[in-house]
Amino acid sequence: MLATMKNVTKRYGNQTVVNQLDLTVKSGEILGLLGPNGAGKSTTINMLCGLINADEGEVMLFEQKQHTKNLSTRHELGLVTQDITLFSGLNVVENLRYVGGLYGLRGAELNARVSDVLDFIELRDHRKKKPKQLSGGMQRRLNIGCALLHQPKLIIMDEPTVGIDPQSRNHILESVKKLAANGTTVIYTSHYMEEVEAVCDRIIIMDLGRIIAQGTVNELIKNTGNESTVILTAIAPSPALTRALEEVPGVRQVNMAGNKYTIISAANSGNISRITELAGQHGGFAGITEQARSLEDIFLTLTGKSLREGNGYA
Amino acid sequence: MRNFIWIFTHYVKKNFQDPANLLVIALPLVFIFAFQLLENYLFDFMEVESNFLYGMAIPMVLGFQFFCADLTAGWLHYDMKSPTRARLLVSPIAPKVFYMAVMAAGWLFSVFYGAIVVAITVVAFNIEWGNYAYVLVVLLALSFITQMSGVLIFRYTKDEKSSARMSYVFGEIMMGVAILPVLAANMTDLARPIQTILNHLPVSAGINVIANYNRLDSIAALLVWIAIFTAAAFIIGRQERQ
Repeated sequence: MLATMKNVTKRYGNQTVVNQLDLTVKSGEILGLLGPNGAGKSTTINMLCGLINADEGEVMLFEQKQHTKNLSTRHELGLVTQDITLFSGLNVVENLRYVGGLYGLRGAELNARVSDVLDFIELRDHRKKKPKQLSGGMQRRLNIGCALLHQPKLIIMDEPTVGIDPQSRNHILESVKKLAANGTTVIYTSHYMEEVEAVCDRIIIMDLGRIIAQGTVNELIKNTGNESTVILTAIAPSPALTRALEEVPGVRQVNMAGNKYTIISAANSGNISRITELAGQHGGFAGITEQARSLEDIFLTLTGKSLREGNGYA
Repeated sequence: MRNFIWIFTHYVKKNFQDPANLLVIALPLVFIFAFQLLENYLFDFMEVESNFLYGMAIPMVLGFQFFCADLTAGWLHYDMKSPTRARLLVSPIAPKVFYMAVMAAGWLFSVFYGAIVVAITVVAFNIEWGNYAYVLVVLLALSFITQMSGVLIFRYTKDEKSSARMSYVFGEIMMGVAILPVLAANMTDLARPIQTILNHLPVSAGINVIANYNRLDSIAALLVWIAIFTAAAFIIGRQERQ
């Protein structure tokens, strides 16, 4: 195991942010960490990185106890933060050189690593530009490049694709796959389910400071496979229709976004006819489909929250 | 040590590359030039012979040292109270090494700037500074206190702007306090405890060392101030890290 957390608890005042967490990271895997805001993902990452200490339990990284004063683990660890952590007074190459120097790289070795990383993040043509002169996607790529200079064994990427164009996003996802192919372990957090599905070997879903499910996408779908998802497009959505749908036998959860209802119910409950009947009684419907379960559905079932939409969890 | 030198070099370059830092060299010279004009005016038109320029130039140069507190406070804000904090803290650099390197870079810059201003006042204004070894000792001591005060300002301000404001206020107070004994033409008119305090404040102690006035007493006062500011910066710095 590259990293383990055993019975880890972290509190801020009276609030328990991470609660008796057990987590393992296997060498060479891409591990997706999912959870709504406030699930404890960032706190977990911060403890793994040694930026904060756990109140209880044990955090082990590269077979060493991880804490804020353990600097020896830092040489093998790269963090891609959610915020852009670039030095605005320095250009692309200077940013890379300065950060490389913080990891002890000097001279020819530093020059070679800067050159490799420039190619990897495809910013060679922009190497003399300062961060402000780069697009959002380029800044994100440089942010990733700064975490790669010292060739860490473990890279933690905290929402590395926030607010960027699809082209840059694809570039970053491809980069993650390349890193993993070269033997680097990656922990990847994102609000975009399709990204996590596309790149991660294993997924951990957290809520309220605990792990509520983990496994591959297929395992997660299989383990929550006794449910089906019905998408109903109502002509006149209303609270009355929502209440009526919630009362249908077998229905476990109803979420409304605009005129679209996502209804999670027990599999093979045969209640689709009852749902169409109710929709007909409440102004009719434009369409109804029964969908295969996606990671988004599983997340919704497990946490009761959408990762990006509604309920203030975007 | 390699890490310290890497960060130290980075901030030395940044200090010397920032054109705003040239202000701390230019401003005291502008003031000294104005004092020279005033002295010339008093002599030419009112036939008053004054030692105004000499009396004001040394406190002015030493007092201006304290504006360099903004260097340290500013860089610490820029890098340690912004998202780059995570980048630095996740690196294998101990936070104390980072803080010490930033302070050392600020210290070097402020001593260098002080030496340049002293040299210009000698060449352009014929200011007599006495023994240059003592001048260097005073510059080293005052710039050290300045960097420690920069850490305190960083700790107690929420952003770069408020830090810059506080640094300027601090600089103005220190300069005001430096000039106060000069303005109080006859110190014996003041109550003895006030005289003692005024003569042992950082800048006035520095002036006394340069002017060969109670030199040992004044060097001791500077050492006490260094100890006070260093202890405060160390204690506050530890709180910040926790």
